[in-house]
Amino acid sequence: MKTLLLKEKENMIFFPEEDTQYVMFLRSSSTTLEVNFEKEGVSCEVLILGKIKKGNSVVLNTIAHHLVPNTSCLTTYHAVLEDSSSSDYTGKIIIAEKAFQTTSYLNNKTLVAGENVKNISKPELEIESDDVKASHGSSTGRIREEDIFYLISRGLSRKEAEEIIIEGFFENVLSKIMDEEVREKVRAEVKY
Amino acid sequence: MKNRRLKDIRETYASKYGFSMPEKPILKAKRGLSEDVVRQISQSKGEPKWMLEYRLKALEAFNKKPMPMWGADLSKIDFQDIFYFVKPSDEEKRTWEDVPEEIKITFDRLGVPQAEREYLAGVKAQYDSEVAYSSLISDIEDKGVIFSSTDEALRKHPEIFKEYFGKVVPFADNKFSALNSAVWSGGSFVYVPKGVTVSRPLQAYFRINAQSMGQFERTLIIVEEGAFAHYVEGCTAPVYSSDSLHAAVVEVIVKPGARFRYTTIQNWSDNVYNLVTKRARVEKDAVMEWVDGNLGSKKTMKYPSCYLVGEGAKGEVLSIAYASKGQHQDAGGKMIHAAPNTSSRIISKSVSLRGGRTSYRGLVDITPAAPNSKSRVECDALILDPLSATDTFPTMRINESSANVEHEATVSKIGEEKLFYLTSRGLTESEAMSLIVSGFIEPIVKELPMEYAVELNRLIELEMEGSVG
Repeated sequence: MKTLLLKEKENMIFFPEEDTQYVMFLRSSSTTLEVNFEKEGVSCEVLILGKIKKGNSVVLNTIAHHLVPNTSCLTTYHAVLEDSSSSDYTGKIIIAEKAFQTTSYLNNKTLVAGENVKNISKPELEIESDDVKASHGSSTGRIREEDIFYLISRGLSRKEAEEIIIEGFFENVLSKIMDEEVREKVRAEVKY
Repeated sequence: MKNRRLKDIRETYASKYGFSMPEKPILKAKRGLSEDVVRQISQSKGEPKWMLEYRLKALEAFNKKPMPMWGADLSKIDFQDIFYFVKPSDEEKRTWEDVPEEIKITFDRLGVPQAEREYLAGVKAQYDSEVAYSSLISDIEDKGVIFSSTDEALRKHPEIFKEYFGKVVPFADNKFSALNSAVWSGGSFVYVPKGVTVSRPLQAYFRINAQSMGQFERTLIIVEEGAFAHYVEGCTAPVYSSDSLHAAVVEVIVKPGARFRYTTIQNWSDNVYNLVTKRARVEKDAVMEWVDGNLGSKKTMKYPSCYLVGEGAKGEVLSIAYASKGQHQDAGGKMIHAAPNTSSRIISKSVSLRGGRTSYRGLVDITPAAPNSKSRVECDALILDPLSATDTFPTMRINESSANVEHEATVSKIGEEKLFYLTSRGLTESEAMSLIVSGFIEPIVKELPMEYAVELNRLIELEMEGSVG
């Protein structure tokens, strides 16, 4: 599977010919990423990490459009929201009438690490075929006080504790990136 | 595979519920919607002036508002082709014997009086535009519980009525709430005084008989502090070739510490547009539960909602949708968190087959006034053949940083492995399939009152034609 590192940009439309990972790191932008499956047997992953700093906002749309049989897609968007930041996400999975044996999953997790945040999450499914597996999950929650308390009791400062939790939160996505160079590049961005 | 055809659970609808009685209305407003029709409705009910003014304002709002551009396709509705008011008898009856013959036969065939004797605390039966029969067992009446038609409540309890009417769903809320507010007739009025527990369900049965009829019942329910009640409604209509319209408005106020459950089993015939606004205001530590079953109708658009306005309030929606040929069930739920420590849960299950389409559409809104709120939404869709379709459109709007919101949705067909396992245990394929479907909707069916659970289970008994080949 090849890995592509994408820059934040307004409109991106792909028609993958082979198995592909699309990786993107978001800071503050309005981005649409559309993956159209028009070749049978192709399997893709869309991995998006967002660290949205104080006062910034992100608008993200992803579309996994399955038009032919036997394709699969995993869309993951993990975001950390700092003070007064916002994220507005719409994630669509569309499975057309003849696209049998499709597998498509979407997962959106938002970790709230500040006050006055705004988060909109709209995962959508439009399914026109029966022999498919499709699901999505979305969750939004604050950093748990118990976790912070545990780390502080081990000698870390509050800030360090939060950083470790955020790192762990992103690690779930980072570990899916197959290309090492891309993975380390994104890891450096996330830490910054 | 081609032999594995499921029998539609509503195949017997025409013989069971699809019959109609000759129309013998004592008053039938002329076809179409106009100011005259609204005035005529108000006049025939002898309403106070403020209600007529309210209706006229609502009519104006209806004319101004555009049709919704989302959801089910409503372009075929012709508002001028509908009868807005059909009065079946002169007044609602307290004893079954007094009910006019045609209406009595109808409800006898639907099993309403039998259900009343066996399970219920009170019954109300609405036939076309007005309530034809209502009763309430006396020990509950003695506790001060009011269960009457909304028309009667306006006459007999004007103070309570005016205080709450139109407060939860304002007439200008949406196009169909405006239509209902202009031409409403019938519906249930329930008032449960402080601390009173009504242990057996109150039931209303809505029946459309006239052709091209619009039924616009208006339900207003007030549950005072610490009280409990359970209200159940069922709906059916004859099978006609022309379309009918059902646009109800339901307003529920659940006061502090009270608990209320509202169960609907909508089993309209396939020529009914079912466009309903249902909303509850839930106060401190109160609990509101919507159990919403959508089996019938041509198109349904219905999203029961809870406005959680008091600290610790809890809202729940259990929704089940079944769409077969020509049907589109666009259903879901809305939870507005507007106070601290509020929690909500939405569980939706849908089954689509034979070209039917089910859509889940929902909203969870955590406002800045609702710290430490929790919400969980689960939607599962089962899609039984390649002709059918399903959608999921949840929206989560979170404007408070301590909120905990989860959403999950899955779409699947009946797994080959599950069928294989059950058939290897000696079940026929039809038994295996109906077992899987029953298991799928079980979490909702078990929440239904007895007689409805039995009925629904019977409906869900899926049968197949032909053997496995």
